[in-house]
Amino acid sequence: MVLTAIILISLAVILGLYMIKFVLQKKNPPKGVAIVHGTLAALGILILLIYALTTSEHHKHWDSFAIFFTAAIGGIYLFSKDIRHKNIPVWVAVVHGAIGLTGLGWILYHVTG
Amino acid sequence: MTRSLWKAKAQKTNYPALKNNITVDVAIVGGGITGITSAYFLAKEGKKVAVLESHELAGGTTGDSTGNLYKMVDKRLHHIQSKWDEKTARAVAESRAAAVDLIENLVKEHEIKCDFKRVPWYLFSETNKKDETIEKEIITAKDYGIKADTLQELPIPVQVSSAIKVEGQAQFNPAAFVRGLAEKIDSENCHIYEHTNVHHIEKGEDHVLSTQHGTVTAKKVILATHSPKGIYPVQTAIYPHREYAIAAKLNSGDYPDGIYWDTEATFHTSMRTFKNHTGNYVLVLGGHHKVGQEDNYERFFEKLEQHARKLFDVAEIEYKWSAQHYKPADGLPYIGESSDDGIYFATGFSTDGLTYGVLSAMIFKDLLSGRENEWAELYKAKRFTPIKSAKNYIKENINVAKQYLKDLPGKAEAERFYEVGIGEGKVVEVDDEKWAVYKDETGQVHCHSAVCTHMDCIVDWNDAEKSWDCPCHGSRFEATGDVIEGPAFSPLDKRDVKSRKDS
Repeated sequence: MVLTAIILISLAVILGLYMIKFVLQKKNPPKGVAIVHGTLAALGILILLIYALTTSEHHKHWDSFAIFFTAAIGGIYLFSKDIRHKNIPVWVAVVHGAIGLTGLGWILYHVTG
Repeated sequence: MTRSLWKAKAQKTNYPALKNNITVDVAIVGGGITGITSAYFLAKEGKKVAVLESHELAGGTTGDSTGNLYKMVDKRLHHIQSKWDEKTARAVAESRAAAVDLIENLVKEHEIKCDFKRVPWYLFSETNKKDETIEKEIITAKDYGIKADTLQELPIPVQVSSAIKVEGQAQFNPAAFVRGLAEKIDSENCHIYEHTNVHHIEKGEDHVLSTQHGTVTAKKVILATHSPKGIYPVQTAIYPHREYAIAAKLNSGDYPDGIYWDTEATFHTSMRTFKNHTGNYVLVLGGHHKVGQEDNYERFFEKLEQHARKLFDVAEIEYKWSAQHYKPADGLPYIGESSDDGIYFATGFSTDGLTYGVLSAMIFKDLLSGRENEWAELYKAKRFTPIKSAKNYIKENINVAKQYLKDLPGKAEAERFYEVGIGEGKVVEVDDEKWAVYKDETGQVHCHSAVCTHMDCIVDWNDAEKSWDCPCHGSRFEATGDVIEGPAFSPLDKRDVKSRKDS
């Protein structure tokens, strides 16, 4: 279950890196990519939540869930701004990406460590 | 190119464009039947009104409609009754009947030359598969005091399994009505501006509408533009469709006036007759589809023509046109004040827009004058009907999400500009961006971003109308990028044709 979540979130991160290129160039990111990115991330986070609620393992990955959830709030904010043609604050996009990457690193460290 | 019978037969208009800054009580965006009828009433109430029409009066959906007026609805009254309740269906029928009566009174009072006449409405099934629908409509009609006669045959050459006739509905030339009524508006209180496109609304206590050469400041704004201009939550609850029409001139055959609706045809849904000094015509309408989600749009006209020629002695197809309508999630239009204070809209009319347009004006007249209106609550724009809307809402918004997926890397229709033929438009990917590329008859290439300026969907080429149509919320743009209709304010962003893809 955690592996599935990691795969989904990793794919979301790859698409996120593709989109941040557009944001840094002050161009509109393709909405198709944004939707797939968001959907993959949401599914990954949902699976992590289900895991945390149902597993009997000691480490329930609530910490990773919290990091990804924080990143998701930033993502929703960015998407709602972008779709209404409001300027996306570049720093929010960068922080959103950094939190997501940190979360991926964090969960990988705990799974492989 | 397409051309509507109504616009061709109606008198021309010649209102000026706005060229200065003005302040009024009510600014109305859109000079169709909703906008002009609202302006007529509000000016009569003593309000200072400005009508801002981006093209010419009745030049949009009103002039491209069927010209039919009826108290029934596209989805049938029994559908409203089952989705809502008997009281609601009755109120819908009564409110629509009041709107048709009002049009008749306005035509008589001002002697508007728009060929208004009372005609019967027919509903029929060609085979027994849909006899049940007819039965239901008979029962529903009786419930609401509508006299429906059952028939075994129609006065037009269509074989039927069952049919009903309801007398007292109406037909007119909607463009002639709107242009005629516009001339009768109190000119002291109302100014009409044509070729005046509103490209931005600054919302506030006083709203400021920006046009190319002037601004309009108003406390109240009516967006009589079908789907409201800009981004509103209601756009997740109205679903843009197009429908096609042809006017076939007949060699022979003189059929009685009437509105003829086919219950079961998957394609041709209605017919009506039209006569003038040049001869007899039959209008065949149908071919509903979601905006911007088809290929080869010309085939809709071809199928209508085939159908007309099968039934009638057709000399030629003199006019062909198409129009947009928005189907509402819960079956009723949204009329009233939006989530923004002082901004009103009327939308989600389905194919029943002429009657609902006038009904909207009746509601706006009262709401903007601080009076109660008996139907305002029924059609309230801010209503929340999750159970009644859920099925359509989920289905249609999943469809919108799918349309966004057209904006994935590598998903373009052509790789190079030379793949775009003369008179054709295609979406080409240039530097990680989708471009809407159109090659006109002279071979000149027109390039724009293919990203809709409303909510960023990728537009689709419509070969029948030579337009770029947005599959998400129905914005439409000229081949050269200018806005034709829909919620988008701005034209498609221009792109420089000098590109390596051009080589």
